[in-house]
Amino acid sequence: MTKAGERFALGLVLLAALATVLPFLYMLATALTGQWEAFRYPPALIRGRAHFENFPAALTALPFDRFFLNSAIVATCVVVGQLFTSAMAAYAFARLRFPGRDRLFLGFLSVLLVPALVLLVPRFLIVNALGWVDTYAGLISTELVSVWGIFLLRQFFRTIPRELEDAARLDGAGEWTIFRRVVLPLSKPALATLAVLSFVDQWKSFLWPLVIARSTEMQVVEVGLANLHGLYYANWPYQMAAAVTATVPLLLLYLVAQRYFIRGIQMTGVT
Amino acid sequence: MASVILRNLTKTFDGAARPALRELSLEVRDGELLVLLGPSGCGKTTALRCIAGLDEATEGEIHIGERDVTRLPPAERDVAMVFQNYALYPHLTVRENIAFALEVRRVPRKEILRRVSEAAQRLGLAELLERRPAQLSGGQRQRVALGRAIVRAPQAFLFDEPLSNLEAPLRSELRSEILKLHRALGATMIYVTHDQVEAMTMGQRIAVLYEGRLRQVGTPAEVYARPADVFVARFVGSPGMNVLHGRGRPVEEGGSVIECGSLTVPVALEHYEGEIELGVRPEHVTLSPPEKGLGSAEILIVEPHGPETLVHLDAGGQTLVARLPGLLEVRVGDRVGVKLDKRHFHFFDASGARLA
Repeated sequence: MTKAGERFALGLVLLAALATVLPFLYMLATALTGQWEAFRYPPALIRGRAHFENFPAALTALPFDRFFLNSAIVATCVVVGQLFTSAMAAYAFARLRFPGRDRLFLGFLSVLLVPALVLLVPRFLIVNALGWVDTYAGLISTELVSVWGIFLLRQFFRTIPRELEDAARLDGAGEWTIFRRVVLPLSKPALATLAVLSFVDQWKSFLWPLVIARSTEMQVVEVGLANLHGLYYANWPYQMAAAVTATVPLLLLYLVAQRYFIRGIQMTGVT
Repeated sequence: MASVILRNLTKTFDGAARPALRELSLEVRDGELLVLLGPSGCGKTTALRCIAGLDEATEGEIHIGERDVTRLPPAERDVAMVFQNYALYPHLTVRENIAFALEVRRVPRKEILRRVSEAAQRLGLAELLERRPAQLSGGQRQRVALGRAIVRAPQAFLFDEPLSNLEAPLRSELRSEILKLHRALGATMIYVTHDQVEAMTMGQRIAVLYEGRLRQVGTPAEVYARPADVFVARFVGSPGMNVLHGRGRPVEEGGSVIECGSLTVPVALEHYEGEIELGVRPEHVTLSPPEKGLGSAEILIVEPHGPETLVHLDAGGQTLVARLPGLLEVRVGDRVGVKLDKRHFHFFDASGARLA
């Protein structure tokens, strides 16, 4: 690329980055504003002194400690469950030989094309029939299998040289030993990618918890934010203070595990 | 240790038109080092993978020692394999790599320690035990792979082109390492290679495969001196045997001559008529002034090697190579006479099979 072309591309990327970051900055600024200053026109990023008291006030207006705990429990359980089911299914699709394997895999993949909304009602009917509405089981159970996770790990497993598997077989290893002692340890990067992305996915999840969690004690952070909006619809600083707090775990995760996010995109072409 | 016997082993891969291996029958004796030699795609690796149990034979039987292992899984065949790409577990240290098979088989810890350090000692790996494969050179990696094989004391060792990824000096070093192991362990070894130098220098016997069929089995000397067909003649030797295509006709004085290109070669065959392939090794070809010899040829290429020179010749459309001692004063394009040592002729019929 020419010098000028490079500069143009860089400018474009910077512009996109700015457009992405600006709402976050505005959110942060609003979270630190006094209630009435937030409505001042024209809007500004820095407006007088920082109102840190917005944070405790917003977070105690509803039991956000409980919401955070719920989100953490649900996300952690789902991550562990998805790692387990995705790895096993992906191994079968990548390495075992059985009739109809590839067709079955295509069947699984086609589920990715079905919008989550379409599945909402059937999922609810099943969970309701099981008596799991307003329980952790209800929040977690239907999230335990991720087609995307199976796809991601299958792609990765296929890149592991077959000779390693052959060597292990000759060394006396059975299928389970190959899976646990050769394939899984070699797949740590892919497993980490899946863990990180599925955690984020759960943390951001809104619709399903909204449908399943009835009582205040079972709410997750995202739904809590929506409820706060209902209660304090005119108090933007409170809402933004809570929203900023909800973003912090994801931000930290991103800082620590940035390369796994990138790898996830590289490996599957899906975010 | 044990013998390995193959009976009519045939392997056809799913969807393949032709079998990769056809009715291979072969006996590898207890304690023998047998080389499976052939160009790529000849079925030698397939044969090895069938013996290991990594591929299932379509037909035929495989016996290791007293046992019929044809339908047994690899783990129960008690053979060890060394791969071209080493196939070391990248996430394990050298020690863990060598110990893996013993751990999987639940050998007691103390025994594992003893056997791993013994194998490491033998292969000069003692200093490297805590390293990972990525921190080793190619030669060291292949040593670890050897260690992983010998630590199990299996019935037979299988080598799948273990030296192909190594540089030439390392290759000869590891070659003698493997021979040393073979002598020290008295182990049955089957060694697959496409490199005929490796085959000649390592094998107690060589089995030559081509297009899925066994062409010849014998000691390196037998295979070199009496190739069973044109393919073996051309494949074994560096360069391989010259095979001239000609027509035989009887002559009045008795015997016959074979006319190949610009050469007229008198042979001892009685009244031979028709198409024939005449084989003669490069070391049995000499040059003479153009008017002498069996006919004249043009020099195509001169390859000085120091102790010897290879001269590629065109004799009326038939190419042949002469291996001559020392450095020669000949130039590309020169016309020379060609002499062949008739004591070392090989005759093959038009289909390529050896005559007498």
